[in-house]
Amino acid sequence: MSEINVRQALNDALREEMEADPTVMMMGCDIGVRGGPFGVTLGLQKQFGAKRVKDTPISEPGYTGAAVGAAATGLRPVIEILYSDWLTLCTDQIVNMAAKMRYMFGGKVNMPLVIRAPFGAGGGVAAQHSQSFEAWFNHIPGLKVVAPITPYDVKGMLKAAIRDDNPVMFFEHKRSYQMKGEVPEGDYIVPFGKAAIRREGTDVTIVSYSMISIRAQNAAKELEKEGISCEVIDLRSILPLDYETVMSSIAKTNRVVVCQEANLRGGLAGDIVAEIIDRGFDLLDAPPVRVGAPNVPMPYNAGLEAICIPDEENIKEAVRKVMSND
Amino acid sequence: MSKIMTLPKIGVNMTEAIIDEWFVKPGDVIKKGDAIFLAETDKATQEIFATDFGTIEKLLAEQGDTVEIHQPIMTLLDEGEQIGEDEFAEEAMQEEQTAPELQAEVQAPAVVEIVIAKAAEPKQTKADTARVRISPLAKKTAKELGLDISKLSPEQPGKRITKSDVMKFEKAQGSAAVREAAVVGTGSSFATMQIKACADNMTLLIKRFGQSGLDIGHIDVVAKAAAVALSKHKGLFFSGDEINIGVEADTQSGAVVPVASGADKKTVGQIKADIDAMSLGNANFVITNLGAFDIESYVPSRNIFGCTTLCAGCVTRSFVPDERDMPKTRSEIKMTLVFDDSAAAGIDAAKFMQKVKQYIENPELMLL
Repeated sequence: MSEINVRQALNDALREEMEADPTVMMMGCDIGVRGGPFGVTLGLQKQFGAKRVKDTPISEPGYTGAAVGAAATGLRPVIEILYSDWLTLCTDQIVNMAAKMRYMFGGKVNMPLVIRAPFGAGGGVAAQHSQSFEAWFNHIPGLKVVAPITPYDVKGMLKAAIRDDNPVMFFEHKRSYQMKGEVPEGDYIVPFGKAAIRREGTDVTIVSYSMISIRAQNAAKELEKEGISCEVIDLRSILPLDYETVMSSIAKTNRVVVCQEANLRGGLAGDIVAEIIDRGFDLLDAPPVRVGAPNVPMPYNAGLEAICIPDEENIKEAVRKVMSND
Repeated sequence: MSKIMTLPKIGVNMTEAIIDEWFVKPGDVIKKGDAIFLAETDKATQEIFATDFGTIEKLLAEQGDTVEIHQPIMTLLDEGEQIGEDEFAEEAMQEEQTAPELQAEVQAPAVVEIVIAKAAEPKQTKADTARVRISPLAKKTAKELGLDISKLSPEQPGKRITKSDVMKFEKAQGSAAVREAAVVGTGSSFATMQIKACADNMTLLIKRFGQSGLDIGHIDVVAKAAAVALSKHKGLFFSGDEINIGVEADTQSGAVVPVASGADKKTVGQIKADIDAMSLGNANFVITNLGAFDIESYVPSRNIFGCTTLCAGCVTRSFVPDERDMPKTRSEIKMTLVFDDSAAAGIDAAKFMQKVKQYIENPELMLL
């Protein structure tokens, strides 16, 4: 066991997978010589060469399309879209090509493509660099979508993503790279579709993922002092989503708050609430409550930005609401 | 002269009641104990019985009204008294205000008819028509328990009804059902008898349970002793093999009677667990625990639970003479049996009580 940060965990996962499998290769802007704008790919081009760690022109649709072709013809490409806001540019390649190819070729083609996409808000990077598009891709059959947050999960899930024969959207929170955690030595994977219970509780289930799962744990700690016991679930994997864990927690608490960092409208929280109602309406002793950002572009101004990013206070408020029987 | 009857307090925590339905109307002759109206109290919907007798002169509350305890609900006339003339005049004036088409010279009897018609007219309560705000879980639970959701109410007015509200209602109704049975069963005669038992060994046993981390109280041992004694006197107080001991328990919403079914075959710990879990069932023998409130002995004036009842007092320290007639101290518990003496002979009940005493004085005998 050693304590490393998310950046190092990602770097280790990439290195180990490239060492183990010569078909793993990477593409993206500034990932090679510079080691990536966030330093995630530092040292990898030096170790594996410019053919396997390719710097590309600033053309997301171009290198995404190239990666789809590479994946279809035997390589296991990992590409970086920085920031995830530019997924808009390569959405045709992802939605119409990568997500459909295995299906439309009757399973005769694999699509082992990983799209790393730093997402989330914070740090005053304004409306075009603060978005969270996980719900867009959650909507598309043929994709897998994950958003791990701890160094352990980040490393294990990136390895699982690289070994998966389906296109995987790998959302890294851009404010998480410095976050530290224990990671074991040696090879391990964190399988998709299995949520983690970060904190056990009896009164309310808080469903969360990525950065807001950390805030949910902080909120739960404070709510404990108010006598409210919260069970915090970190989904880790969004598609597939571990509804078994979610529903068995709700069977215990009968109350649920679903958190996302993205603005609420059309978001994942709404979709999760709908699924909860489909699966266990009779388990609910109160209407589910969603936590998310207001439906506005993320402000650049630090004060306004802080108001818009859902935080511990918003989660506590939601929990109190779901407990109020109002 | 007319007398006033007020709303009786029928539950420990009852503060008010909503009048769901009057069973009586002015002019009716009622006697003590007659059901006069259906009330929605904090615990359940139940019948309220007259605490006085006479001819009803006037009802002072309408259906749907909320009345606080000890507030007047009707005026009564003694035998031979007539409904006063000026009362009619007053009624007539009230009617006139609400119904201007009524002429001032309207004859009194006609007004009485209107008053009666008004009182007898079934009024739809809000609960019948309004949508009940209830959570899906609470709704499902109520359905499983066979409860009418229109009878449920939230902890605070205006809030949503949750599962915990349903469970509270169910518990209250469970005890109400036991009491209702009691009202039906009080027609027969009953007798009481009291016995005193040395509680030294029982107290020691409880202390030892405590040392092993088991939280057992005197009432649990009394319940077990009564259950085992009943198993040795089958058919004495009730028919059937199943011995279901109810133990009156004090809760926030008033006294309830959770039941330990098949108590003679259960351990003291299992009996306690059943009581603590507020398990519901049909008790055929009830133990009251006023001893928990330092009451030494209690002799009820009627058969409250409609089945044989053992009233356990608190454990006290007393001086008793030893072999040389010198005083020594011991722990004692007094128990009063309330039973139907038309069904069970006094001598058999006494033998039963002696058995209970033996078990309490020598708990190890219960193992035999």
